[in-house]
Amino acid sequence: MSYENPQLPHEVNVGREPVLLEFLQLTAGLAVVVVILSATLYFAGGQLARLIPFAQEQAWVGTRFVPGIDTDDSAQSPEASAIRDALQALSTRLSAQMALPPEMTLQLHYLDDDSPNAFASLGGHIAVTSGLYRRLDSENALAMVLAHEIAHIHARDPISGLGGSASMLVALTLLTGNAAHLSGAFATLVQRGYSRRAETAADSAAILALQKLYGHAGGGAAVFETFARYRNEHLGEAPSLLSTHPLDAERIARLQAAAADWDPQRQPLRPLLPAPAAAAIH
Amino acid sequence: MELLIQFGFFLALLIVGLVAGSAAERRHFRRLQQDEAALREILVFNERHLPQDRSFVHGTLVSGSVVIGEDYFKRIAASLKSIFGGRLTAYESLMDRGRREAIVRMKRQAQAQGATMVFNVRFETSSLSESVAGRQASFSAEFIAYGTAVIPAPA
Repeated sequence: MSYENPQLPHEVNVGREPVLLEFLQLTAGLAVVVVILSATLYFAGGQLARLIPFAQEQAWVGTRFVPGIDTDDSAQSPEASAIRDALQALSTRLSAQMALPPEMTLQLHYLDDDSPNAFASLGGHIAVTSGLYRRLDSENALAMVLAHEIAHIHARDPISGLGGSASMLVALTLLTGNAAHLSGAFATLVQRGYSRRAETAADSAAILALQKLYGHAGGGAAVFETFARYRNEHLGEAPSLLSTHPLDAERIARLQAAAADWDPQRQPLRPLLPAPAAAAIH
Repeated sequence: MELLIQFGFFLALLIVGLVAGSAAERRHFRRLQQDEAALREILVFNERHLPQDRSFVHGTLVSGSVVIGEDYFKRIAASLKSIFGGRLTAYESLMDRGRREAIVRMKRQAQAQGATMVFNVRFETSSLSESVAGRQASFSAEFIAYGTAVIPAPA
């Protein structure tokens, strides 16, 4: 009997497919699946969250409207308190024009922050920063800001955003197991703003409210001019890729179109009262 | 930002794993080819009985063992593939390297004994990885090949 070990091809035991190519293909496939899943969950969760009664939302939130920001308005200076009261009064007039249901009560806050910003939060809280207030030149511009934020609350955008992020976060945590920190970071990335459509809808509602309250939509464009100017000056601070606000130029054009029939001579803009401290104006 | 840093680390590890891992693998395969060619005169069989038509003076147990670890790229590629299913090609080459290296080392031991053939060759593979506190440790495996080396009677 003869014994031998002929040279056998070892390649039969080893896959010769390019491993890197397969890896990239699988990564792309998985990314598509995760994005579709996240978008579906975000949308579905957001729609479901809108069904939560507003009173329930308010009961959950109470007075803590944004973590990390001092919401104790009573500790503010007399000037800030006066401005806060003025914001509250103007928002009451606006919500009457916007047919806000009576149970949707608003709570206005005046935040000491130099960057121009305003936002609506859960539970009917709306905040305007001092940086924005002192950059505005008329009550009409302030009304545009407030009406926009009231429109968000009316459309239940804050709770919808929370519901969407929460359901997505739960799903991603289940999917990635212990990588909860990863999905948290992912969720905050998504939570950066409302959808483009929600912003445009809020703009439309705000323009309508302005027209009802003042008879024209003049002065509203100044708000977005302010934001645009600030962004140009501080380029890099606000990454425009992550911003979901419709492009400033687009919004300014829309507002100017809405205010086309406005006659500044016959319908002068109302002064901003109380006036922001003169020294603070740059 | 934090996410970007984490992702950067992940990507760096992945690239290191891919570059260093595939370089090591290529080197290993090249060396295996040389070693196998050098040890061709040592014959290995998994036949349990010695041939009756020749005589041997001595038989002894020989073994060769090796531990091979994965690289970071293999690990991620395999866990990704495990979602979709299919052949884990990233590990196939690793297992093949382990088995061949174990045979080479066993043959070398047999050669040192003056043997020309190894009968009853068996393979065993065991995974050395253990999951620690729910975290999957990196995969490594020990490959052992053993058999009965026989030294032929002088002609």
